[in-house]
Amino acid sequence: MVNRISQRKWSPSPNGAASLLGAALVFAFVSNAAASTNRAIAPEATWDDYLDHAYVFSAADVEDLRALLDQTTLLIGRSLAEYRTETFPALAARKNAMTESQLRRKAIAELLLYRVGERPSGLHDATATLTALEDRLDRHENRYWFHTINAHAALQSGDADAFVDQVLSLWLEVITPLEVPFETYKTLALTENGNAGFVRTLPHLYESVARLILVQSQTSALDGDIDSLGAIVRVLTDERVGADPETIPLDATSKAFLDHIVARLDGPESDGGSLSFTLALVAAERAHQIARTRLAEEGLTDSSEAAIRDTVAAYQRAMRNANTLQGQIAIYARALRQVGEVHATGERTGQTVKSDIPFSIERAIELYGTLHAAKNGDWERQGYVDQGRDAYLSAMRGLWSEIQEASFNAASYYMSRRDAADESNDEAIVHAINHYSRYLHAFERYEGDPTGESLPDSAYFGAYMAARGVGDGVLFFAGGDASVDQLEEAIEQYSRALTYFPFDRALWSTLAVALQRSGRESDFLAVAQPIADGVVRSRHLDRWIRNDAAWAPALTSFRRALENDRSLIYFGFADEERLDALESEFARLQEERESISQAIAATRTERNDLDARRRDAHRLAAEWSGENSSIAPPTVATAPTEHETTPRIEQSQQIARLGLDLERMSSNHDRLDARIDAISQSLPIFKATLGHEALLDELSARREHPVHALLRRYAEEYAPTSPEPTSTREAGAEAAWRALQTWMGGQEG
Amino acid sequence: MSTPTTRAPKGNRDMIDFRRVSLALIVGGALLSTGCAFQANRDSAYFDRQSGRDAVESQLAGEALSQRKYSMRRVRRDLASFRLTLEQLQRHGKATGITRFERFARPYLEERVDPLVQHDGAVSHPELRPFHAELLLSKALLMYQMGDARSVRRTVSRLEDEFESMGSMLVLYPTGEAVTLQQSVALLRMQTGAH
Repeated sequence: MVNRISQRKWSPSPNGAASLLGAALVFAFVSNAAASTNRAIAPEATWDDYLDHAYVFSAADVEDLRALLDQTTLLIGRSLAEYRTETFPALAARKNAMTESQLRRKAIAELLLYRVGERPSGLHDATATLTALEDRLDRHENRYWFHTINAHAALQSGDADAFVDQVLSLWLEVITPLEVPFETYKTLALTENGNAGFVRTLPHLYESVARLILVQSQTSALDGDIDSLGAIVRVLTDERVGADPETIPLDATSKAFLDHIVARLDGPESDGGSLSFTLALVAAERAHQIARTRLAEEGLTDSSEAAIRDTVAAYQRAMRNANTLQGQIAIYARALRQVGEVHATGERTGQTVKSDIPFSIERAIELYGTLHAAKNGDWERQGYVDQGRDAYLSAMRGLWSEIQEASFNAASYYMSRRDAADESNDEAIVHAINHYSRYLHAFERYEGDPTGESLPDSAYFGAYMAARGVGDGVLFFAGGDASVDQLEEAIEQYSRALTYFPFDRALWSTLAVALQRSGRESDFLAVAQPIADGVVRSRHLDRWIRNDAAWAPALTSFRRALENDRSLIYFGFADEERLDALESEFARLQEERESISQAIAATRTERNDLDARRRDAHRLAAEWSGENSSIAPPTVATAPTEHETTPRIEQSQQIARLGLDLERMSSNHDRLDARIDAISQSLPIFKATLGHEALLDELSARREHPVHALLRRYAEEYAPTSPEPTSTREAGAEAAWRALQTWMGGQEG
Repeated sequence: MSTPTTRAPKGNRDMIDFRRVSLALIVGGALLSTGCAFQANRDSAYFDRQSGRDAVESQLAGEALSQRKYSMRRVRRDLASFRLTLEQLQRHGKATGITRFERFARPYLEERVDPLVQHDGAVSHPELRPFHAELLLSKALLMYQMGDARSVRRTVSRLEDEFESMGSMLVLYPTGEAVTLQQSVALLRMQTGAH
C-alpha cells in the first residue's frame, strides 16, 4: 500500500495536490518517519481540508481516530482543538455570518473532538452549530452531517428510538437520493472525477452508516430496541459495503463483520431476527472473550473478576433484548460456559470463586424444560420459525451440553475444596453432590426419549459422571467415615454409573472398596455380574466391535474381561498399582508347583524302591525256606536274613507314609494347577484392559466423540421398553435425594 | 481499525477483524481513490448542473437500460429485506419499531420505487418488463404488510392493466419462486386477500 501511495504521491495528476495531501495523511499515520518527510512537502495542509473529507475517517474507532488527529496535528502544526478555538470565534466575530462550509467544519470539528474525548461538550456544541445549517439541509452533505451528529447525540443520551430515526432519515434523505447518480457515475467512471461532488462519497457513507449501527451503538452501550435498523444492515450487505475496493480496500471495510451479523440474524442463535439482540450478544461475546483470556492468564484476580462482571452485564443487556426463548437459550448457553470456566479456574488455581453469575444452572434447566415441552409443534413459536426444527433440536441439545459442563465443572471445583487443615470440606462436598444430583435428576426426567432428539449423546456419559460424583461425594463426606446408609448410597450410585459406562476399570475397584467397607465384599459378583452381563449381551457393542469402530480393540478387551467371572473379580480386587506383585505371586505359584512335582516324583521313587526291596526280601525268604520247592505252611515264620536291614514291619509303615505324602502332595499340586490355570487365563485378560484410561479423558473432553453414540445406544438397549411415568420416576429421585439430605444432616447446597 | 484488546471469540474473529485493520488502509484508500480530494470547484459538481437523474440517464443510451435493470434488481432485493424486517417486528409485536419503520418505508417507496415503476416508456422496453412487474409485486406485498389494503388493490389493478397481454411472462415472485405473471397475480391475491 505504501508503494501505491508513494506512486500516487508523485503523480502529476490534476488533483496532485489533493492526492499529495491524502497520501501525507496516510503516510503520517503509517510511520513517523514518513510523516516527517511529508511535513516538508505538504505545507498547504489545513484542518479545513481534513474536515471537508471527514466522512472518510469520522466513523473510525476512537483510538484510531485519536492517532489520526495526533498525526495530523504534527503535520499541520496545531491541534484540532486549537484550530477550533483560533478559527471559529474569530469568524463569528466578523460582521458577516459564517458560511455554510465554515459552519459544517465547525460542527464536524466539535463532533471529532467529542469522539476522541478532548471536548466532552463537543456533541452539544455540534448540535447547536447545526441549527444554523437547518435552512441548508437540502444539500446532501449538510444533511449527512446533520443526521450523523444527531445520531451520536441519540447514542450519548441512550435514546434508541431517536437513534433509529436519525439513521433511517439519513438513509432516506441522503443515501437513497445519491444511489442512482452514484451508479451512473460509476458506469461512466466518473467517481474518480473531481466534479462528482458529494455523490462520490457514497462508499464512505455506507461504511460510516454500517459502523454507526454495528460498532458505535455498541461501544455506547445503547440499551434499547433498534430492530428497525435490521433492514438497513441487510441492504448494506447487498453490493454496498465492500463493493468498491478501489475506494476502500475490502479488508478495511466492515464487510466481514456485517456479513457475520446478517448470518447471525438469520442463524440458529438469532432471536427471531432481532438486530438489537444480535448486536448485544456479539458485544457480550467479546466481553466474554476478554474475561476468558484473563482467567487463563491471571486466574481469579480483581481484573479478571471485573471482566466477568462486564460479561455478566453484557449478557444481561442481551437478555433484556431477547424477545424469544431462542434468544434466551443462546445467551444461557454462553453464560453457563462462563460459569464452568470460572469454576474450572478456581479448581486449577486453588482459589475461591467469589464471582456471582446470575445465570443459574437451575434456570437453564427450566429453560430446557420449556424448550422440551415445545417439541410437538410449539417450537416455532419459541423463535425457530425461520431456522426450522433442526435448529430447535440443535439448540436444545446444545443447552443440555452447557448445563452438563457447567454442572460438572462446578461440582469438580467443590470437590477440590479443602479447609484450613487441608481436609475435605463437608459443605463444599454437599455443593458438589447437589450439582451432580441436579444433573442426574434432570437426566432421568428426559432420558428414554424414543426419538433420541432431546438429549445429546454425551448426556449418557454425563449420567455416569454424575452418579460416580455422587458416590465419591458420599464416600468423602464426614472425613470418609461413611455410615452404613451412606455406603449403601455410594454402592448404588457406583453401580448406576457402571450401568452407563462399564469401561471405567477403576470404578469397579471403587465399587468393591465400598462393598468391603460395608462388609459386603462377598456380594461383589452379585452386584457386578448383572452389569457385566449387560456388556456381554449388548448387540450394539457387538456390532460396534465387529465394525471395528472407534476404540473397538479396547472395548473388545473389556467385553472379554467382563464375560469371565475370574477377571471380573480382578476388576474388583486386583490392585493395578501392584500388578508386579501379582505376577511375582504367579511365578511363585508356578515354582511351588514345580517343586511339588519334583517332590512327588522323588517320593514316588523312594516308595517304588522300598516296594522293590520288599519284593526282593520276600523272594529271598521264599527261596531260603524252600517255599519255591514245596508248599510251605502259611504260618511258618521265617528268620530275618542278613539282607534285611530294616524290619519288615517298619518298611511297610514307611511305604504307607510315603503313600500318604504322595496323596497330600498330589492334592496340593491339583489345587495349584487350578490356581495357576485360573491366573494364567484371567490375568492376561485383565491386563488387556489396562492402559485405556485415555478413553475416559477423551469422552470427558469431547462432546462429539463417536463412543458417546455407542454409550447412548447401549443405555437405550437396556432401558425399560415402557418408561415409568415421569411423575413416578421423579418421585423416586426426590425420595432418594431426601434420604441423602437426611443423613447429610440437612445441609443444603 | 482499532487495536484489539483481546482475541475475538471463536467463530467471531472474522467479524471484528475489520476493526484491526490499519486506519491507513481505509483513510488512504479512500482519500486516494476519491481523487478529487480538496478540489476547489465542489459546488459545480456534474449533478448539480443537471435537471435530475432522468436527464443524466437519457444521455446514457444503452448504459441507461443496463443501469435501470441493476437499480430495479437491487431495489427488489432491498424491498425483500424491508419485508423481512417488518415481518420480524410484527412477530415480536414491536409497535414503536413498526411505526418508525413504516414512517421510513412509505416515503422510500414513493421516492425510490415509484419512479422506477412509473407507467412510462420504460415499461414498454421488453427487457425491463419482468423487473417492472416484480417491483410492483414487491411493493404490493410490503404495502399489505403495512396494512394498506387500498394500495395493494391499486397495485394489483395496475399489474392486471399494464401487463394485460403478458400473463405468461416469467417473473420472480417476492418469496423467490419463478412463476408466470398470471400466477403471481393470483398468488398475490391469495396472499393479501385483494379482490
